[in-house]
Amino acid sequence: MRRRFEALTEGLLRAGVAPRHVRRYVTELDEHLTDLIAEVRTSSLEPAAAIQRAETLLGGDEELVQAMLERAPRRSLTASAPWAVFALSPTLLFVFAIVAIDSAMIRLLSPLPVVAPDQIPVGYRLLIDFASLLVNDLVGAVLVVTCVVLALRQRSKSVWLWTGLGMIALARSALGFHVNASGNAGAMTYSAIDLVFTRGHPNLAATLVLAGVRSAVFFGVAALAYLVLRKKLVPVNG
Amino acid sequence: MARDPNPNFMAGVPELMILRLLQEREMYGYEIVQAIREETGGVISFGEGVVYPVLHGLEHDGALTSRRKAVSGRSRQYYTVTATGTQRYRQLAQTWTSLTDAIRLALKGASHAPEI
Repeated sequence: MRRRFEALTEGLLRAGVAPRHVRRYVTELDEHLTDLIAEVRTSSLEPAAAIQRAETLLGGDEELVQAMLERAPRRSLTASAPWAVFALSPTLLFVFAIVAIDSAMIRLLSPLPVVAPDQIPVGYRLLIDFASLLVNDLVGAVLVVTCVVLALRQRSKSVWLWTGLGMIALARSALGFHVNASGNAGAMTYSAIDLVFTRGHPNLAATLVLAGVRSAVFFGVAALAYLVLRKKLVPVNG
Repeated sequence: MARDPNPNFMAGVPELMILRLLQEREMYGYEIVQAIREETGGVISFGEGVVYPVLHGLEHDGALTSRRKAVSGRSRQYYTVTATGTQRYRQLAQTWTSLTDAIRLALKGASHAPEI
């Protein structure tokens, strides 16, 4: 019976009503309709006619949506401030995470003696690998998944999600946790920017090109995942 | 008893009726709508589903609380009036009483008006 309220659900979500309020409303409408059908069936109406009569008594989708919007207008933050949810917050969170993790890693690695990269003790190696995975892959992925889920739940306009994904992709490509080593003892350094070195010197153009390519790939994968999920989960007329 | 829905849901009336009914006992949405229909002799009727935004609005304002309860194998959301709700009911009832008295007075005055 929930499919009967699909259009109503979509209408309310697109109008910005928080998903949990929509869910509760639809649950109670569903239960009310069950009771109405049971009542109307005691009359002499045919079953199909009884269901139709019960649905008329419950109210049309437009009336039910309007009643909700007029009397209990609770727009979610995602609907009322999409710029904050999709663009500002994820970018700030990403930068904050990078700064926090990089700072922690610098403190944790400070006792590490100055050695060539292939001579780093196993424990420190694992720590560096974990930090790299966390900062360079997981944080960005978690933020992207969060944005996609929020956009799908609230049926948000795509432009905000694209903006957010783009900003996360750029931030992720520019910042991270990187171990730069030239192979010589005493030449190992850590940085938040993944610099491309040519002939032992940082190459800005190559660094920017690499960052651009990574951003584009990351954005493309995230956008594709969102489009596939939207096609599966959001009704056609939604 | 007529059950064709009226197009307008009179402002203030649903809240007043709901708060009045819940003074007696906790009820769920379908029960509330049926009770309104019975107590008003079918004069007040509306698309029944619109009772829920009113209930949610009253709960948001602190006039009601709700809980899910299973009765006879069926789970329903039951609403109870709070002290805030009782106070609001008294205010609404007083407002409507004053309003109806004023209208009754005006109509009584009109019925004495000379015919042109």
